[in-house]
Amino acid sequence: MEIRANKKIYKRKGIKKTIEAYNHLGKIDLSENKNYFIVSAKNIDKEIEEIFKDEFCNYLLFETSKCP
Amino acid sequence: MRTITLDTNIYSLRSILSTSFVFLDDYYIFLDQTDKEKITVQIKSKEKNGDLEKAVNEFKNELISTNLRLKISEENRKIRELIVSSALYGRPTEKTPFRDPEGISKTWEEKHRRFEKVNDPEGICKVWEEKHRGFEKVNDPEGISKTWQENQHRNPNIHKAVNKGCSMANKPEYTNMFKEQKDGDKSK
Repeated sequence: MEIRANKKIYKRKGIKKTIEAYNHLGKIDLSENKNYFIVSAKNIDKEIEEIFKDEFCNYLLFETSKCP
Repeated sequence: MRTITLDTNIYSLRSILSTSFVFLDDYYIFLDQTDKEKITVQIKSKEKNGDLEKAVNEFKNELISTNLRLKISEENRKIRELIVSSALYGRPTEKTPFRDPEGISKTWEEKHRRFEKVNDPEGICKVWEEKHRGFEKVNDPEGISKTWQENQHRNPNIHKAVNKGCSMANKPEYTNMFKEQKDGDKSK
């Protein structure tokens, strides 16, 4: 599973905090290209796999809103 | 899932983020910027049969409200900081003198004192006594407006009749008459 977060909207600090919060649910890696942060999630439980991406994005938005 | 495209020339990123924050409890929101001046908002309901059309309309209304609130907040930022700083640190003291270059804190009299002499040649601002002090001597030759004590030096006999009893008191025959009466009383 891959989530691409735009660098102009989402903050690096917010992404790191979100990964810390969801790290216990699977193996989450962060990489980036010119315009996007790329979050790769592996070994996520199949029962929560559907909502994992949505909840991760919501939490990411929440953390980004907190950043100045 | 519904997608809204917003123009960043109209809505700032901050107002879009703040609006999205309001909807996080009931909806999944994901933002992306495909174009330089366009931001796409993907809205997905957490409930299976959620009303997305209503959510999109509410999102747009909330976005307008937030955008306006942030603009007003930015416009009033300086005065808000001034009020908070004066509330926290109190009024300016002698060490930090109060700056009032336009003299707003002064009274009208303090501010326009130097103009009185120039702009009031007829003495309209003066009280009646100040203005007519010179005419009193001319228009009141008999001293009607003056008190009895002030007029006495000018005409000492004017109240002679009233003071007849007092003048009689200076005569020794008049006073002896009373003395005799008192002596007579004692002999009795």
